[in-house]
Amino acid sequence: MYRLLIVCIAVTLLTNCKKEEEAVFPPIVALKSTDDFTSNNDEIPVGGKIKFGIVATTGSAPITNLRITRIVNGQRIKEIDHGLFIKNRSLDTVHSFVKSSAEMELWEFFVMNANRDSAIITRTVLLGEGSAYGAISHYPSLKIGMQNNSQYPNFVDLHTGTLYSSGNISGHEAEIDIVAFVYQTSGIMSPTLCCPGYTGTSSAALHYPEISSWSVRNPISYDYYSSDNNLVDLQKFESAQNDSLLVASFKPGNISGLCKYCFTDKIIPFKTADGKYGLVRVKHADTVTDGYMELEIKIQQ
Amino acid sequence: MKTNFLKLMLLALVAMFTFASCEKDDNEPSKWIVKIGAQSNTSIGAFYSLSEKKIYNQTDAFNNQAKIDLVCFYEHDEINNRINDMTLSSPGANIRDIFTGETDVMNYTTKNLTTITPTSASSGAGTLPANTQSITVEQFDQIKQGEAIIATYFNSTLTSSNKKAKLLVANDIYAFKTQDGTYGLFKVVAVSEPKNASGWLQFEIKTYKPAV
Repeated sequence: MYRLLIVCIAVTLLTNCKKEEEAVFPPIVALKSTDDFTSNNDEIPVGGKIKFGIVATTGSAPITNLRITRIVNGQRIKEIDHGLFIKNRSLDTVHSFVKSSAEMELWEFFVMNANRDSAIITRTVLLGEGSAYGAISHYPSLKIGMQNNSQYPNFVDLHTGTLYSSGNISGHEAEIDIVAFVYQTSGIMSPTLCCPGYTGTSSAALHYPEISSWSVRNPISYDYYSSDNNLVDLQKFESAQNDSLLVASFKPGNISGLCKYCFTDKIIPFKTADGKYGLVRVKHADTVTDGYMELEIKIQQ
Repeated sequence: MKTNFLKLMLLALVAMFTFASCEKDDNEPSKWIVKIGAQSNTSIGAFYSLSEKKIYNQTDAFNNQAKIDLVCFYEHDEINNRINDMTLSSPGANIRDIFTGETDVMNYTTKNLTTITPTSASSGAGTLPANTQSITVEQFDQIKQGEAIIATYFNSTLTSSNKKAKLLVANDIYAFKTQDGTYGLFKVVAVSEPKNASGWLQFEIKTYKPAV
């Protein structure tokens, strides 16, 4: 009888011991206004730099997504769509873009957490007078080997146009933006441009195993859609004297760190890890693993 | 008899353990709330050091000038149109005719300037200036000490009307930046009633200092 009483009392007390429900908070997103960050209604000439410092709190769950959208004349252009997992600290990141020729751009910054709670903030950027197109570097001919080619170097530093091979890459790994290889995909041998930071199934490290040990592996974004559909005109490429074409050609909607089917005469817009826009023209591309590619590159200085 | 006593003790023990294990979680960090006096308040000082989290009276503040970041005062002068009422400012804000004597802030040799910008429309802030990132009370309450987002609410493009927060009432929220580069937000929790030079101001602070 007593035992039953004790059990009953204990059960009653335990069931009364409810934990208070925790309040659920959404994330908060804000933009930095200090230094050279772009403010609301800033007037920036075409080709000028737009720079946003995005800061967000997590709310009640880790931040899982940052999406930055440029809205021009009602058209939404997804510039950044990053999956994240930020827990117990703030999101604090900087992204730079180039002002288009649109009179007005609406920028939307969307942050979501694991509870699918979200926050949005917007900024308007207006078109300033004149243009701010910048100077470019031009490398008329860079010959790089495919993965089994020992005649040419394999690694490209886009910022200086310097080429490296396995023998002299040591100490320069952090400068490498482009590597090339050939592999079979969809039944055909594809001359392919890639980057050390690409981690997909056909990564550069698969063909150049030493890349796995590099402490810095730069990513790059190739606009493969423009390449596949031949959207960049060769004549315009040849006559480009500033970064106008480089910036305008890059469409962020279909980008990857891997660009397949880089056959001769393809022109591929790209954006480097540090935000430099450029165009690479394939002057020659073999489809064998000991072949080579000859590239002509124009890139923002 | 002895068995009954043992059973009773056992019952009491079970109840005690059950209650003891039923404690409320204590994960909420304590709030940083300051109660500061206006210039004639004889029990609460009008000077505050953020680095020390300490209130100073006028004499002690004078002897610790380099540590003082915030000053509270009340001013309602209709003749000279200085209607500030309960105000939070700093030694570097050129506060005249409020404090008196040799230890007046005007006599400081080190005058820390804390710039203060509004984050929500109020009677003191008026309409919000351009480039102001506004914040709600709910958002303020969510933000944790030391979060980088705190700095984003400070309007660095504001070059005038940025040295004091006036006509303060409960739930006003302002952003600030101290002389040493610490960013902060403060939310007014309460203001003495009546509001006068002997009154006080209570506010909650959240700060963020960027890594150098």
